[in-house]
Amino acid sequence: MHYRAAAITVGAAVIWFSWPRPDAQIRIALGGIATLTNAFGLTSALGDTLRVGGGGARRTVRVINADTLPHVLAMFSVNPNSQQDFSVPPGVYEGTCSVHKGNTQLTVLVR
Amino acid sequence: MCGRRMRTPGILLAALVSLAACASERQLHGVMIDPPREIASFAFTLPSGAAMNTAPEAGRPMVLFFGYTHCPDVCPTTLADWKRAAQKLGKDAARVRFVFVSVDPERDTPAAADRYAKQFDTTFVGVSGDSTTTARIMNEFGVAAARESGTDSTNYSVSHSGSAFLVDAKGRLVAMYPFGIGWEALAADLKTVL
Repeated sequence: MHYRAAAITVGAAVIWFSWPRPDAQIRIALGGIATLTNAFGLTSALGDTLRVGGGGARRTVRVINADTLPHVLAMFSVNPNSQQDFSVPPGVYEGTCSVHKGNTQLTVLVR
Repeated sequence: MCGRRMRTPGILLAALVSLAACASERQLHGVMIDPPREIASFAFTLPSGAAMNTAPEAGRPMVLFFGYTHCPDVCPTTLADWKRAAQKLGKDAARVRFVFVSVDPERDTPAAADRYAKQFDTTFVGVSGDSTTTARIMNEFGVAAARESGTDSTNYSVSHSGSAFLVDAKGRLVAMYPFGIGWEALAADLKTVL
């Protein structure tokens, strides 16, 4: 019985870790308010610097644009009411950001 | 009971094989767009009067960059990188369409844009459309540009997106290359898509 429970737990853990999910997910709500959800499901407001970590050679950044306007966040551009995945190699990227009304800049730090 | 025991590893194996198949899909060095995005085509007029269309051509991927001929840094660096990538490709470079698109059509005439691109490599094409076409193609690629305040109406700089874009021979945006990613990434990816 214990053996079966352990197997189920291990199986669930393997599935959870291997299930394809983005390393970072940005969601732009109506009005251009952006939130960031990391790989562990924690959500916060998108800051001036987007830090993306994870395993493997590349990181996946998913941008969901639920706004009625197109948005450009550094090199990530997404049409209205659509989502796009970007597979990004490690590096530091900078660019203008349409959801940062103040400084209009976003730095993407991919480790 | 025995059949059920055998079935579970079989399902797991099938899942692993599927995952491995997904992982072996074409990998590029640039920022990959997943799934690749269909890109609309745009028409420009070259200085010769001939039409230049960004519609896909069989077997010919296209690399685009959006800049302006008065740019002091990002544009010349990017086009110099293209030249190095083209040299790396050798004869295969002739199959790649390198297109420089001006985001400053007020100052950049079609002749100025094309002359600027050809300073780096005579196979490069520079285009400058009317303001409507320029706005539409920039919007299609998600390129931002803004005129900065200058000393007069002709002496100004333009801040603009620094990414180059790779469109495959089917007219799909497959990858982009943020400024500074290195020409080797573009050269390697062009070899992959050619």
